[in-house]
Amino acid sequence: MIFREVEDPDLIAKARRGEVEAYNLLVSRWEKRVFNYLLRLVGNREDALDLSQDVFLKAYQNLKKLEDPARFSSWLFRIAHNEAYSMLRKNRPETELTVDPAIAEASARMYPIELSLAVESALGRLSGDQREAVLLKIYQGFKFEEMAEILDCPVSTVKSRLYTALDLLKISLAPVQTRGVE
Amino acid sequence: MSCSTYDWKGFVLGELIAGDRQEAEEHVKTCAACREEVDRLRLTQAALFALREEEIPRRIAFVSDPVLKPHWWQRVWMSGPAMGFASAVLIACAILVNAAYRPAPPQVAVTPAEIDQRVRAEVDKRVKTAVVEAVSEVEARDGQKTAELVKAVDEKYEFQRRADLAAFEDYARMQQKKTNLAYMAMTGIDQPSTKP
Repeated sequence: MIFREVEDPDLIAKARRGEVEAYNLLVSRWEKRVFNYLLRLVGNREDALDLSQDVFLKAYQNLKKLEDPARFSSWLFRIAHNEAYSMLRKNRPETELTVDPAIAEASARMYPIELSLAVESALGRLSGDQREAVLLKIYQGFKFEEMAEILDCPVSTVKSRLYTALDLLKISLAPVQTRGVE
Repeated sequence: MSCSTYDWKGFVLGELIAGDRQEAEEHVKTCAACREEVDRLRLTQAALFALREEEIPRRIAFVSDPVLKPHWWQRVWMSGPAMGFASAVLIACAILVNAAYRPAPPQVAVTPAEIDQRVRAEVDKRVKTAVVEAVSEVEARDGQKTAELVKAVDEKYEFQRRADLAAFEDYARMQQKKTNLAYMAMTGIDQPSTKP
């Protein structure tokens, strides 16, 4: 017999029948990605963890409303997006971070672990929409159509945000690129 | 400055359709400016991948949810293996309990003398039964034989009686004839001629 990994739709079907363990397995597959996505959005580990729990709880409660189990990932990130922006709206007004040339210049002399911090810093200088577009595309690998679904906006808007973000990142990370990332 | 007709970000991000992608690949081989733009975008993408992925501080897990939790009978009913296992356990328990609490057959110590006595009693009983059966059989056979002999004697006696009776009747008729002839001779009554 050939071992076949249980697919997400199978786990979703079981979870819909009330099998909590199937849902826990589903959570274990996605919690790290959702947590990191939320962490980059809200910038705080505790908030990101609380939000992750809320996201998976809300997903569980609404699992029967998921029409196409094959699109579970985009549906889950749509919930995560909504939860994150709901919290951000309550906690703080959205602020646009500006490029800090000093930090960008300093990142050029960094080692890999510091490079990670430089990237984090560069992402932090993007607007929330731009940063989220980068997170969904670069780190989560969603297609433009899926991103539009998650962000509830046209594909053209998604592309505009992402392309602007890439132009900004290209500038802010240029010193890093010249040193170590080859 | 790269050529504005090409979507190099889409190219690097893998969002171009096959035809556009092939055309862009052909162009980037011949255009230094566009090649530089593509290289910078790829380096930026590579730099972004340097971002460390954080481990989640606490695992997320759910225990139960009353909204989706099925009734106990649904859980039992839907779980075939569980039902099978429970049945097997019940049967095993029943067998064990039965084996543990079933009364054992009485264990009585029997001496050789008792065994001999029992054997003799059994033999006597069987011999008596056989004797009774044999006597009954002989009596029945004798009774039947006696009945047959009595019947034969009765038949012989009856035959003799009938023969004696017939002889007596013949004798009586003869005596009657003689008496009649004597009377006729005494009284002179002509005798009927016997000649033609």
